[in-house]
Amino acid sequence: MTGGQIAIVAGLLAVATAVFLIALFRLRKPVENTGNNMEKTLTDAAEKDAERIFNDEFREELRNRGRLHFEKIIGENAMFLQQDLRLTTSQLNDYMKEEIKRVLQEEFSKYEESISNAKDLALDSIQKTQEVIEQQRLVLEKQLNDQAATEKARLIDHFEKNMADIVNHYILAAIGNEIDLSVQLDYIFQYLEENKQAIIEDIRSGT
Amino acid sequence: MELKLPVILASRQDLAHVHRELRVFLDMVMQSVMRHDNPIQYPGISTTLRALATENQVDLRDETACNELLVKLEKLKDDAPTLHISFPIDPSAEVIQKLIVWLRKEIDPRIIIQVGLQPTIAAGIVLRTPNHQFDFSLRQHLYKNRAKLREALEVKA
Repeated sequence: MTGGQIAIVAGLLAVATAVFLIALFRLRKPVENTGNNMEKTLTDAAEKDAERIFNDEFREELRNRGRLHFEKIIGENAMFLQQDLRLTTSQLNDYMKEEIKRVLQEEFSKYEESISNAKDLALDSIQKTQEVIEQQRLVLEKQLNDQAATEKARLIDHFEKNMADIVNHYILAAIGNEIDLSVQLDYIFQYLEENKQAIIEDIRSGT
Repeated sequence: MELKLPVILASRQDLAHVHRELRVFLDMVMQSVMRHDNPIQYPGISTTLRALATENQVDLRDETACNELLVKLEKLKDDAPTLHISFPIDPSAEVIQKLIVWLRKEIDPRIIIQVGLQPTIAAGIVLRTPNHQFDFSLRQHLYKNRAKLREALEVKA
């Protein structure tokens, strides 16, 4: 027997005792007026009857009845509780499904909206980046062309400045040891003639 | 009378050499006289000294004329106008002589030259006077005519 059943049985016993005491109190009222002896007699008789009525067998019977009744009530309540639980579970499942579905739909719609916004932002960003890159490309292309032109001009200028040396170098490499000064004398005398006056003046001023 | 320089006497080294040779010649003649050699023993002389004597009509047996020539040579060593000429290769004697002839005829009859070697000039010469440098090289010629070179390159391109 469980503690709850014991408590129920004890409660029933207490109720029965109270009913008995109330009946005894009511029976006692008319004889109050007869005196204390009468009262005492009745009290003793009641105690003896109660002891006789609520003997161990009756108490066991009451106990069994209480147990059965309690088990019946417990069974019924358990059944109701089970039904309620099943119903509640079913409703809860439906509710949860609906809620989850609703929340998921909301979240998905938000997610789709976010994705769409992010996509738009990304497209805008990519477009702006492409525009910036294109501008940068144009600027770089212009700079590169300018630098190439400058470098080309510098190289040409450098080449032109050193062209005489370059040609001279190749001539020197080509003729090598085949230089004949006697065939150059006309050329040398021509230059000497052209600069004769300057040479004379320089010699006179130097000596 | 001013000293006439033979073509063969071209450089300052030649001048110093002939000066030293003449002095040695006079010393040896003096020694022969003092030894009472009969006839006087004259040492052999170089082609340069012979040419110098011939050019200036100096009789080397005449001591006084020799001494005058020696003095003139010493003076010329000090104040002869000198030109430095750089060649691309070692010049031949013929080239040097032709240049000397022209320079002594057109510039100064006492002129002497110093020869230098500068292979990078390829052709022509570089002439350096006391205060100036005259670049008659092919390189300078090309540099002066680089516009024509550029035009030629542009036509080729």
